[in-house]
Amino acid sequence: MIKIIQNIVVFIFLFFGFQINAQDAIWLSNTPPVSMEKKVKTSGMHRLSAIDSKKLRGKPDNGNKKKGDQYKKIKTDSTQKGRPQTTVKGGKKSYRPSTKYLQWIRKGNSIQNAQYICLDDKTDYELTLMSPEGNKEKIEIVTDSICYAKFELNEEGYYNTYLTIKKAVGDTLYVNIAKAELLNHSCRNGHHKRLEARPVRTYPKIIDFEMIRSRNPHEDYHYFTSSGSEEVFKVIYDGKPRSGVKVTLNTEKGWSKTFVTDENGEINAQFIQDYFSKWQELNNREIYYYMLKADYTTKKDIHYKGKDYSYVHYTLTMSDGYRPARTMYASMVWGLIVFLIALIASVAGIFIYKERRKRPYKEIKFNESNN
Amino acid sequence: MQKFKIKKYIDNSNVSRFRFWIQLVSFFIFVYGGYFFIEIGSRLPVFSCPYASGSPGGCYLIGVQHELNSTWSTIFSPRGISILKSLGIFFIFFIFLNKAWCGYVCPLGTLQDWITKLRKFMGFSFVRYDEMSFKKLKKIKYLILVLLILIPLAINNSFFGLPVLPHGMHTPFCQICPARIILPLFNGDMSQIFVDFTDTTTIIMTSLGLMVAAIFLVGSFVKKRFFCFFCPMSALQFLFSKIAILRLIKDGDKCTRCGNCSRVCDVGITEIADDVLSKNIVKDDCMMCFKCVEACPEEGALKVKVVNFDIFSATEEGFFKRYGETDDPEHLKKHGLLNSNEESKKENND
Repeated sequence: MIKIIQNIVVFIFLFFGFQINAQDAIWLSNTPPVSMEKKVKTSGMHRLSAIDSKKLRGKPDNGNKKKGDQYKKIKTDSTQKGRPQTTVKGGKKSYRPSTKYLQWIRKGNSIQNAQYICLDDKTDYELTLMSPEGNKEKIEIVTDSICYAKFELNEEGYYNTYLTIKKAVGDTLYVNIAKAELLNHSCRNGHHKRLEARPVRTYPKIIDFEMIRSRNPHEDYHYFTSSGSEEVFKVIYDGKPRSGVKVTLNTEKGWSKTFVTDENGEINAQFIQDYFSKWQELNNREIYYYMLKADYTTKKDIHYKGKDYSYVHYTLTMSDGYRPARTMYASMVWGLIVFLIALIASVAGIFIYKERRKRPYKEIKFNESNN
Repeated sequence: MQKFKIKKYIDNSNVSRFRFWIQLVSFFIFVYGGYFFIEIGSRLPVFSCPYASGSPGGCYLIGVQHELNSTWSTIFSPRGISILKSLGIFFIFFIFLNKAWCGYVCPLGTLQDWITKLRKFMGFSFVRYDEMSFKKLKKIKYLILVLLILIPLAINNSFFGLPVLPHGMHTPFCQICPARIILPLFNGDMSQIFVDFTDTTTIIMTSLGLMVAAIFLVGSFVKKRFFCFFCPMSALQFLFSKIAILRLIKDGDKCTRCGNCSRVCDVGITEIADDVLSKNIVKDDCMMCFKCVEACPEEGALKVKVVNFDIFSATEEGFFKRYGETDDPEHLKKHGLLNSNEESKKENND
């Protein structure tokens, strides 16, 4: 009898626990809140949110530097590994402000309306930043009036940020993993490493439930998911593809669709073409955001904070940006070309037709005396 | 007596000038009315294109294409009543003005008239179809009307076991209609000049639409009311024309077959002069501009009636007031009462 009551209690906790998780997805966002919009700038090809630190990286070479000197006569040295060093002509090192990148923690399935939240000390969370080389990097949470994660991206390539929040309810451990892929690339630094955008890195020892975006065969640092395009996402558990996992895609414009992973752990999601604009207002660099959410419960005996749990429920979110479809603006150019060709062809056709119908003047004289 | 005076004043008036101002006001309403919170309806017998942001309504053709984009089971269910309701609204609008919707209200028709004025101003000559071409080409509008009904049906229903048509053809006429591309331009919106790369069908249809728009502009420049000749709205209107309350009546006994009426006709209808047997002389290409009534010098040979009341009749006095008592070829040519052959003949005789 006690066992039955225990099972019912577990079921109720599981049910409501799942509901809470389903309703309150926690995810990492690149979009600043309104109060920080003026402080934050966008950086790099993927327009990540960044802030310039006042502190100069390294030491100044002399004390007579004038304002703005650090930007003068700078050339890039592409032979260096990672982010190129900046040097001044003449061999002396230059110093420039280091850029700090920011990400905000948000709660809610609606990308436009999700809350910006802070994590308190009672919450069991861990923030991890993995470099393109697979190294763990320093990342800090700033708890100001609005909380955000602050970090540096010194290498070119895809960084992965993970926010893992754990919470135990009843017999189940709830693990909420918020993941973001951040591509650090600026064309100013050259393109010698552009093909390194292709490999996808996972860290099963650190993050056991993971989602990745499969790379396009011709993808490089200039690739961007676009409105209307198809993307393949893969769900991995313990380093192996996991089938039958429900994945919901939410876009900034409010479109949502739920997929179930196939035997390869993949979903093939076609983004709805939701960017329509007047020609005059078209901005092909406009970035909207999407968020994928995967829920998965597994029976697993786990020891957490001195207690044993029988189930683990994972809620994984992954967010990134997408741009208007290229065809959207290409089509207008083609439209104009077709229109002009048809216009010219019509004029030419009528001109030729009228020219061919011209008859030389021919005088016809009637001899009225015969009538 | 007062009534007689008013009738005489109307009969002697210049209807073309009146028409110009009506067209101007209508164009403004049907292209910019939406900005002034004017809402007329979405089943209009005229090209009030909802693709133009300032449009105060929608043309019936866009509505009927959307409604017919359904399965047979939907069409023959209570939901199918909406198709009849739309047709009823179209008919209520249509019954008052008959085909004068084309001649006085249609913004696309007005645009063609303005292009004709531009051509005249620039001194270019115009073309007319010969009789054989006229008879062949006039059938095209019926073909377009049939296709715009059948294609939406064939998207959801298989005809004779044939595969259904792609959804990219959901509003086939709108995709090729020049109003969709040209009228938004008057709202400063160029967004309809595009090729939709969604799929092959939309690429073809939108490209075709752009070609038709270009041909419309050039065609209207060299041929009066070029597009009206192929307009499926004109074909649809003609099906109900006999029961409309505005009528154009001919008294064949009074007609001398001088040909003035057909010569001034922008569309080039010859039956208006040749047919002395029919009473109701509204033909499928007629836009009821009443230029023919203006150009008729025979007392009461042509009449515009609302039910059985004469509102405008051909009179000798009105004819001479409008055209003057002159046989100056330049003057007659200016009013369209002299064609190029007659002009050269007259010069030879002189």
